[in-house]
Amino acid sequence: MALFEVLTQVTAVVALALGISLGAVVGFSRVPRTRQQLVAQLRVVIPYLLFLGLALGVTSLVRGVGPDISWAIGFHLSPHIYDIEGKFVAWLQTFQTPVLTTYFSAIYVYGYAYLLVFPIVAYALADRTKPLRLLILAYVLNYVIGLVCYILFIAYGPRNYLVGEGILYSFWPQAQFLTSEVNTNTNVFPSLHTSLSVTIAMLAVMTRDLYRRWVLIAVPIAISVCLSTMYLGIHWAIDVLAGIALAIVSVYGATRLDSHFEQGIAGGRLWFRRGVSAARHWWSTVKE
Amino acid sequence: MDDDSSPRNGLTRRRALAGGAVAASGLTGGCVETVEQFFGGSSRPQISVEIATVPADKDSRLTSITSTLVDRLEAAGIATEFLLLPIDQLRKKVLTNRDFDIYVGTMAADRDPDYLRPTFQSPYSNELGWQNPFGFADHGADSLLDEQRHQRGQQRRETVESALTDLAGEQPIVPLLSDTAIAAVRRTRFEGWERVRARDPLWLLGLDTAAGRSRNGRLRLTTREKVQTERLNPLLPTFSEFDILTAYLYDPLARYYDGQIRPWLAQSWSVDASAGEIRLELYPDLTWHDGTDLTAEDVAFTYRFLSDMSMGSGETRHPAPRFRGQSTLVDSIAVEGDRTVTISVRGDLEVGKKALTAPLFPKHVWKSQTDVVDESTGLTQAVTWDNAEPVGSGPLAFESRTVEESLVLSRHSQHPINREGTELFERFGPLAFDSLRFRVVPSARAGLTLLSDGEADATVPQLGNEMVSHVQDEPTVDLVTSPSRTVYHIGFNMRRRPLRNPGFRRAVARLLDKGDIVESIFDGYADPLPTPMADPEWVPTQLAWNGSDPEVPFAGTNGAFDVEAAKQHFEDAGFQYTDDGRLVY
Repeated sequence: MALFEVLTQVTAVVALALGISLGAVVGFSRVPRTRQQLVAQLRVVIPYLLFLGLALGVTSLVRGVGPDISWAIGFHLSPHIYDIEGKFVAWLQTFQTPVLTTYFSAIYVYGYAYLLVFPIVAYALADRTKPLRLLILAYVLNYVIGLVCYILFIAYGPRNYLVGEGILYSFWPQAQFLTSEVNTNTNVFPSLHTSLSVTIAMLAVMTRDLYRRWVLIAVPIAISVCLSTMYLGIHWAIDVLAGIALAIVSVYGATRLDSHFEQGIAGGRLWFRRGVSAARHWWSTVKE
Repeated sequence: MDDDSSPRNGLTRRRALAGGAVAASGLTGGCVETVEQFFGGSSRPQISVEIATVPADKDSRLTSITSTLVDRLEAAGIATEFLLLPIDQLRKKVLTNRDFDIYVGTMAADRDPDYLRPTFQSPYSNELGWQNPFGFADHGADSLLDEQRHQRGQQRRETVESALTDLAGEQPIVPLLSDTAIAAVRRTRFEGWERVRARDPLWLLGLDTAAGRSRNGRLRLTTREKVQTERLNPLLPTFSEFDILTAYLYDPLARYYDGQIRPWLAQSWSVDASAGEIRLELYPDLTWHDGTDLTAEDVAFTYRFLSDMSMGSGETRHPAPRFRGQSTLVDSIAVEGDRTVTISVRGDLEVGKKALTAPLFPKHVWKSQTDVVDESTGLTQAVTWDNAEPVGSGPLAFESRTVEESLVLSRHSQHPINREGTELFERFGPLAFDSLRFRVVPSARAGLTLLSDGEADATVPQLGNEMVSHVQDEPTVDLVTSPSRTVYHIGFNMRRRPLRNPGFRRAVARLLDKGDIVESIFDGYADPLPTPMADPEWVPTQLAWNGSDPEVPFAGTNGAFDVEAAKQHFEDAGFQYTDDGRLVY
């Protein structure tokens, strides 16, 4: 029940924030108006969605055996992180105030969920498909590379080393019913909270001529999410740096992949048409 | 880690090397000295150790003790690697693979000192589980621990005192303290939570229903341990005293209650002291949870099986690690009828009765689990088996489980405790509930919210003391505390240098102030321990806690650490410091 309550709460808050901000950021002028436009856009995006589905399918299989592989071959990274950065997170927490704790807890749970969902909806409503394509590809790259790192590296966060404290769970114990469903406490390197938030902020800046106001929302929230992971004692500074690096790699990778996809899809269509006409030709010769 | 000035140079050097170490230690097994030699750093390698414990999520007190130890070892010029592992991985590393340097953990001490024999005697060091995982080899201790088995009364007491004195001198482990068992309970549906010590196997058998409640309700407990929803094999070693399997699912012939070992599934026994024999009569109509009759055959099978889990099919014998203390006490066993067995005991009967406390195993289930998996490590199918649907004979039977979520047990009505007229029924019965559900919660705080919402009746008695104030803040939830025999300790792998040097181990022991740990980390919810015996009755007066450890007192005063004093202890052990403060071989 506790999980259900938390989930309902998060869904309600994110839906409310989405409702308000979609009106303010997207407006209604850019929504593709005709049916043909919609179909044309969908035709472009479908291969990306298939790619996303494929990636999710493969990774969900990997996730099942991931922990076993990880314990067999994984490298224990956190002793070295602890050695290098020491008590930085504990120092950061010396600036703790009730207001900051409330703010960063809300950012870590609600802000992050909102940040992830908003661009999916907003980019889907846009009159061009490029932002959505890049977003899908960047999500996939973040997720796949992140998962590979989680298998290769076993790392506990600062709160488990008692470097600082796990502020989120003492401030809001029920939140753990949700986060324990999504996270494992040995998966902290890199910070996916950071990498996905930074990815979204980067895409917001790159496509700023589409939704100028979104930049003003996405960038501050993304920075807050990065800080919150450390403030709440969940990630090391090194995880956050690695998360930022992952974001850069993912966005760069997404733009490269996208151009390959465009060529690939165009090529694919060409081969498909050739195949169809060849089949027709063959059928007509058989009939005769 | 960076507060102390002396090892600064060492640290910066290490930081500079850390990048290389990350890459290289994958090849060298985390051995910093090799990396330094490779980079041509120093000609005398710095002493380096890896210290493993569980993450704060599991037990923040262990993490906290370890964190202090790591800081002080670093301050004393020793390169340390602070490794966190989930409890099952730590168990595997220490108890199965024996591939560790130092760990900080817990073990379940017994009330009888005979448990020290499998734990510290040298012949056990090549085996699995809690059989001398430390590789401790001391001829004096070996003989004393053998002798006490054949003695009784004052003579045995003196031998045990000598053995404890020997262990205190050698410090194969540094016993730190035994924690207070803490549970949060609601009294609306059940009462009697204080009747039995909370980590005693009989804890929940002491419960009664609250006034006006029926005995057919469900008792709902929260736990943090997922493993109880995954593996239900009582042969697996544990790190904790609160073990559902041996408490409720698998019953022994005898249990300790009301001051001594008394008949449990045995209805009665007679003792022939001169022959060293115990003749036992089982309760009539005992059954296993699957309905099969429990007979003297099963009893005989159990003790043969515990002394060799391969039942003769392996190249060598493969005794069950967890019950080695019990099985080595049994010399032979004779079935004399459906309900009658005679057990011939090695050693004095005063110690020998402990043999009867091993849980019984159903022959019809375990006789097909006797293959040897790996002859070299001694792993057999019996220990690797998950036993997902356990068939025991305890007062509660397995009903269902959802992996990583819950475990449900239900009343076994054939058990004597649930049968009117039996001695056990008069003393404990009947059970105050007809089913028992363990629900896995992600954290103690999360579990407490379930209690205050009325969705659970109690937590398992493994709350940390940091939960005390939260429990006290909840008007509907009460705190239950009792002493325990869970020994928090530092364990050394004496197969490795420098840990095989007793002077080094004693110097490590002096880095921690046990009294201060009890006060500052456990808020007083613990008792400091100078020896691995949690009950003071066996401990000689010169080894009793006297406000400080009588054998390895803290290098410092009132919790304040004295680096120079600590360094002196390492030097006295035969090691040297370089100019930049690194301890070298």
